[in-house]
Amino acid sequence: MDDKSILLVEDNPDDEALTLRALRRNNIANTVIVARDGVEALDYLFARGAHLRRDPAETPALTLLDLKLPRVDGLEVLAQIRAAPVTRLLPVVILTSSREEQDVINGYRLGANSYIRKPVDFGQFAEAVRQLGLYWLVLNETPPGGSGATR
Amino acid sequence: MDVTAVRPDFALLFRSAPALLLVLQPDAGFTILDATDAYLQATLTERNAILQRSVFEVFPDNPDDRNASGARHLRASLERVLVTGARDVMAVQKYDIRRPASSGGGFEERFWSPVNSPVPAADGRIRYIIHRVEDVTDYVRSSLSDAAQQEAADAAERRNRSLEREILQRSRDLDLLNANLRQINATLNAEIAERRRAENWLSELLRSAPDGIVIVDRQGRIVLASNQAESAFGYAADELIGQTVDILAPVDKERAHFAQRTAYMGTPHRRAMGEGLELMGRRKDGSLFPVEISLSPIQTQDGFWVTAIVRDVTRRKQATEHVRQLNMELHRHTVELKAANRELEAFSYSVSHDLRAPLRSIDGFSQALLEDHAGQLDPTAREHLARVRAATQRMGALIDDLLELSRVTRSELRPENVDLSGMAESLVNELRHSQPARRVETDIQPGLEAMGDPRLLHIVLSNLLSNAWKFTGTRAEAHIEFGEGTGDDGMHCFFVRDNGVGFDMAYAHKLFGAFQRLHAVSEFPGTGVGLATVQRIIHRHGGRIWVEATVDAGACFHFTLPLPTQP
Repeated sequence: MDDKSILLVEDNPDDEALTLRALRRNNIANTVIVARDGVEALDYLFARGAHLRRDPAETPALTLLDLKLPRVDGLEVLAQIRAAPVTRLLPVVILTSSREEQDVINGYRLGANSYIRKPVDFGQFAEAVRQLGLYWLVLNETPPGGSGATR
Repeated sequence: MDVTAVRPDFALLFRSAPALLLVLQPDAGFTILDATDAYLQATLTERNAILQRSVFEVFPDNPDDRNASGARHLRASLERVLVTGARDVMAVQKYDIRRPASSGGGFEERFWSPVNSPVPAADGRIRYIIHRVEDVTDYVRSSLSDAAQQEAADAAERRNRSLEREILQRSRDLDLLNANLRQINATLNAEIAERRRAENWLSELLRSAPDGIVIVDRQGRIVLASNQAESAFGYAADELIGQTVDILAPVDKERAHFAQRTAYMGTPHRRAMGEGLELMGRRKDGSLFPVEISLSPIQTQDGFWVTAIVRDVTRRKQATEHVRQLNMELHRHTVELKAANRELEAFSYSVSHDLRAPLRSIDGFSQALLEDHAGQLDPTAREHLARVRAATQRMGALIDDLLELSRVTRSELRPENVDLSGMAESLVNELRHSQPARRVETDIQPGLEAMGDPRLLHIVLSNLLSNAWKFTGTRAEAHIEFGEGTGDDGMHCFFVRDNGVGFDMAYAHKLFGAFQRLHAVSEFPGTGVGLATVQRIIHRHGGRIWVEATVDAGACFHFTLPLPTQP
């Protein structure tokens, strides 16, 4: 498998562990970078702060974005991703607990590629992660240029 | 004894009377009714030739005598009899008579002394006139042969007659005048009665008018004030009459009022109630009260007067103030409610996110235990973990339902015409797919529409049909029906009926409360929030929902929704 990395933006360590477990159980072995709030996620993507020495051209193949985050929330992260040329086409899937209509609408309006609600049932959650990985990392052709596979 | 047998023959007696008599009808021509034989003989006439003919036709003046006046005098006398009802003696008349053709024709000079007597009937009216004459020709010829003497007599007689005519004419005029006066009197009396009625009506109007009425003359003096006006301004009856109207305005406005009404008198026009300013009235004791005044000029003989309608608006002002305070209170409540709503929204958001996260952890790590450490767990431990997972999932469902209930309350209604039949069909199809093994007969009335928010009505039908589906689960022959009932208050009425397990109507009132369940979860799963959500949606649409059920015989939910708008 190509080294298509996944950026997981998640502040809840339990959810982080469960997501990673679901990925592993579905044999998705891609590198997973975890950002625990919005600032960290943006620093990683734009290669600043702790990630200053990273090559910003190496963008993740998929970003899994929670909405409720400390400091900068998920919608703001999404807005900045879509505003910057280098991340403009990055596939972003919102993965959140909220099913509030406003969140769904705002998520899509700001350019989310998908909106997935985390089910309570771990079986269902694992199935959702499996389908996500299959679709975005295997079936989906990543956009050329600023985002996608590294060379 | 028979009276007729001895009654004399009056006709024979009359006709044979030794006098010159003529019986006349008191009509326009004075028709001859009968004559004595002596009369016929004296006038050279035959009875048959003169009866039923006018006396003037039978006895015309001699056309050869230019001064002939006999016929004229006779008519005047007869008419006097008719007017006065008294006997009229005529002066001696020269009244020539016609000779029959057999005797050579022409006229024969005759002098007569006539008397006309009325014969009144029982009711006093004149029925006949008896004309009696004496032939005085011979006497006149012998004694008054002198023409001059004759002429003098004629002149005297003419004077007499003219005087008589004048008197007659005057008395007629008087009669006519009297009749006119009587007519005028009657008219006047009727007019007076009419005016009195109008005055009564007017004073009744003034007394009962809900607003005070004040009429003011050109100089601003009060000419009339209704009872309402007097009592509103605190004056006794008639106390205001003659006062200047300015005393009804506040003391500090008295001069301004004077100026205003003087200006108004210059250009009088109608001014409607409430037009313009907030006005105050002054009571006799000096206290003020809010008034509305309408003015209208009335044209009188003394120039323009002004009618002022004065309405005491104290109570309305109080009511307005009360409404204003209520509005403020309402506004405050609205603000509070909005704040509460925002809090609720934040709470729901928080619940949605934060309450579900730990559940995911509990469920996820329980599952991890089962998967990764299955060897170290005995069947009881695995059973316990299964229960933990079931409970967390149930709580997850509960949170979801609660969120939906709160969302249904908060979300804005977007009503449109909704095809309920189509919605029910697709919901039933989904249910069939979820449990393909079940045998359920469904009966959905086609073409049912209502006005409502499609998303919310979907929740209603979804809940009611899933309930029907769920509670008929134990039936070998399940039956679910969706149809239209009898509407009320301009609403459509619908029902969802099933032949499921039903429930005891004693608990029907609990059914629509959140978390109320009438069956054990082990028997029929559910959170007990669905019907609370359904009821809230129906209420938000202005409808009602109620239920009829029998234990073990099924339930029927009725609900009303606004009618769809016609295209």
